[in-house]
Amino acid sequence: MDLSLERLEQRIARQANQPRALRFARRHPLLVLGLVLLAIVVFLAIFAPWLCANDPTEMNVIARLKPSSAEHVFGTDAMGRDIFSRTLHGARVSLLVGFCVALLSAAVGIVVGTVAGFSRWIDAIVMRFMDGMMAIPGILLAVALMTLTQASVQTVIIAIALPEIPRVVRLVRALVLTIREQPYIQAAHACGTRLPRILARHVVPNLLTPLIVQASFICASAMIFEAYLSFLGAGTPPEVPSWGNIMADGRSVVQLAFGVILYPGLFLGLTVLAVNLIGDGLRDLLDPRIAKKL
Amino acid sequence: MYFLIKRIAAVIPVLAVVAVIVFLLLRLSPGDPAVIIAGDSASAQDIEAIRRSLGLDQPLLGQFFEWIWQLLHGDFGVSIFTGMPVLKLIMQRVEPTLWLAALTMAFAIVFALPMGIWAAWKADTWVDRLVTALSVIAFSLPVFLIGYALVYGFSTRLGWLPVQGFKSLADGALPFIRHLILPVVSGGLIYTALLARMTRATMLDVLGEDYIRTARAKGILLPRLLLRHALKNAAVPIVTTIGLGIAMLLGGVMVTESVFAIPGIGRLTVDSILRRDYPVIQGIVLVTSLAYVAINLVIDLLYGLFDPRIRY
Amino acid sequence: MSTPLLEVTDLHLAFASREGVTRALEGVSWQLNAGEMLGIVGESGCGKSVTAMAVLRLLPAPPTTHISGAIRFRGENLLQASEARLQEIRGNEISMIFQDPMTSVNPVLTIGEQIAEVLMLHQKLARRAAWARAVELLDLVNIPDPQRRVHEYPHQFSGGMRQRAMIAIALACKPDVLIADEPTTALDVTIQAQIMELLDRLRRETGTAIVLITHDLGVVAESCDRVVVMYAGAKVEEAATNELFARPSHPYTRGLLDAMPRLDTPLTEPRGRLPEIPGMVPSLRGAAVGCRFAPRCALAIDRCRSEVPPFAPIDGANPTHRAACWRTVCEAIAE
Repeated sequence: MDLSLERLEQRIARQANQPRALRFARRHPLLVLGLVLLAIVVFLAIFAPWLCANDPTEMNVIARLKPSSAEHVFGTDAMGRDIFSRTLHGARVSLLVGFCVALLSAAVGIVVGTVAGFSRWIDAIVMRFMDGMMAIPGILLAVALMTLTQASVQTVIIAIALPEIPRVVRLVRALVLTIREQPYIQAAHACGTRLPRILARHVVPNLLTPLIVQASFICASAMIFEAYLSFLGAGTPPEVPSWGNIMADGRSVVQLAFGVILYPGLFLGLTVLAVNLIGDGLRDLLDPRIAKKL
Repeated sequence: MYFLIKRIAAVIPVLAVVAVIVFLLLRLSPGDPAVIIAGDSASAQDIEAIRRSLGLDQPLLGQFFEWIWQLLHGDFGVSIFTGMPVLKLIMQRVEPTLWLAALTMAFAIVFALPMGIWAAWKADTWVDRLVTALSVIAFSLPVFLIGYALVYGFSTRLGWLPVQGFKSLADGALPFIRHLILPVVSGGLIYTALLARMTRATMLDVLGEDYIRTARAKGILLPRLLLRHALKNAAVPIVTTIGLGIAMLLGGVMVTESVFAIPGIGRLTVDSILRRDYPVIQGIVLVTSLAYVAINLVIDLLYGLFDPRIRY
Repeated sequence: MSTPLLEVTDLHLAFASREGVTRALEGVSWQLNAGEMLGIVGESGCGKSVTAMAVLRLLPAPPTTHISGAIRFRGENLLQASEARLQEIRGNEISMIFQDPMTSVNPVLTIGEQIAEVLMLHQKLARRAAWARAVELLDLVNIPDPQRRVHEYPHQFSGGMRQRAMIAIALACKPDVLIADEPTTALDVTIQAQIMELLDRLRRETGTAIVLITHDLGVVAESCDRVVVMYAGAKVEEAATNELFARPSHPYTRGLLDAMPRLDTPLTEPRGRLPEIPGMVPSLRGAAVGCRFAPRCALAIDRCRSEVPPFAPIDGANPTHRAACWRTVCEAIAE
């Protein structure tokens, strides 16, 4: 009777016969886009020394603030350094910071959150402390930490991870409190299973899914944060070619050579976008209930 | 009234913990903070002087209570670099930052709410996809890239707006606004993106509720349906996001001030970082945290306006 | 016979999703006459609520929804009406009440506002007049102390009172048709009876015709003039209420009636389990081949599985009692 309806049914049937990978890409196009983008950036970062003709730290007084050319694809900065090379090498630092912050805050968060979820009196103390930490805007906490320590990539990672921890702890604790009441946990208790084993076998695996999603968002925001800190002068030491530092260097010459800020900025934006898309995509993939909403 | 007192009382422990954290930051940081603050070229006397001015030579507990006592009397310490009281330094810089933050927030709300509402109403259409795509992209771009791109376009190329600086409202409304347009837009985009996403998600939830179906079955016109029936139900989570997002907004504002050379708190922070003027940074942390907690307390108290089920 | 007030003709409805096309309605037709109460009965998922939503055009827009056929209200085809015209009709000429009074009223608006807004919208009443009328309407649906209650929020109302308030909203503009979608399902049994009594009284007082959608045959028996039985997106039987209960013809209708607990069985008789209809409502993917009920039907013959039965009178004596079943048709011929 309804021709368009039958055509639609046929199309759906055809799609069901497509290879799985294609079907997956069709259903989660943004996740796949994010993964591809991130893969490209990671590839460029790993093979940066072989992909760049110029040394990222080599200065050249004659070739200062040059626009794009065959030799310097993205031009040069105020000290004649090749921006293309610096940008690719900067990817290494930024990716490192992003992943380490995500890993560190997730690791600390999972331990503290699980303990808080299982022990009432530790919970009371820890959560008050976390409330206090959340009341300090993250960037200021990080700035304060950085002024008190010798700048290095490690301290930047810690300074960025610290303000993220309370959010992870809250998430983990909320999840643990729900999981704890599940019948299978009580069954395990009843069978005499010891707490560490319950945690390892039943609790932590259930935490991982939401935690991975959260960690990918933390990773994205950490890369932006690193750039902000460097930009404010409280980031990685100036000699490290992180994206933030390259752009901070470009601040004084932005009117003359916009490329110094534009190219690393775009790379940063693209990488953060990729990780955000992955985070969104994973959340939709892992939690179909929310998938319709965000 | 009882609720009011209870809510305000609940804020006190939070502030106390903030004070403890800020205090511990200085005491527990690895290495000798006095040495780091003094810098590489400092002499032994300089370091000793800094140590004494920070109270690092005093016993921990006594120092803490003395510090709290001073804080309660409005004494936030003295700048190492300028020798001026920290609170006075901050107050001098408050005006541009307050304007910038308030206008950025207004900008974000004005754009994000309609975008999020419209996207939710048009869910799964190109309008929705466009809004979602724009907000993911805006959420991923660093504030200063947007800032410099806007300066490059509107100031350097077109010459329509000033490149940087700040004019007080006392100098006339037009220069004030002309100087703030670009900072507000560049600092506000990321916050707009956050709010738009949140508004869309919450509205999408609400629009799926039975009472929206009822309202549609009553023939309620679209504007009233979206604003009175749906938005009022979505208000609590949206307003919460507006409040919590202020932490992110502040980060944006600090960077924006740096991009546009606006003499506000962000600028003071950058200067203090350069000078390793820790007491000033500590003061900024305390004052902004206090403001952040206060704003969120006010928002908490506003919930009752939107949801009659929340009783005081 | 004059033209019916509301006439649904050969309504087809399909929802498309990534997983496939669901044919929710396949050629449903019925009429509602002025002042009448029509029952639409069936298991959950048979398409009763979707029919109601289709009448007011409250379903998602194409391309997710495909709709064809005709829905005529006073001769006007609602499927071709503009959105503006539909908004005039909704809540004014045709209104609707829903299953769950807990979730169907807006929690953040006062009951009074939710009544008054329809009056201000459709009847162009001023605010003050609309609120005064809202108080009257609450009184009409037996809510005590309406002067005070009108300013209260839904969470201050009990479930039964909320459903009364819903009815007050729906009847505010004196509609010609009220579609009541499972109005009593979510309520306690005693409250159910009160709500049905209220609907019946209001129908008699205002002359509003009612489409009562329910899975509860007991409710239908008490109050409806005619009944339409639906199964898997199609009408399987239609008759006057007394006739249907006296001579259920479609095996599905019989199954539904057998599954009802009976109070007239003497207590001395052994009480077994209530008979149930085996199996589940079938998936509505793909076009129908044969009778949709055949897989669950004890009486099914080969023809049932290969040919869709026509909807026809079960015997010559009563042309208004019709069913869609090969067996009843055969029986009728055999007689």
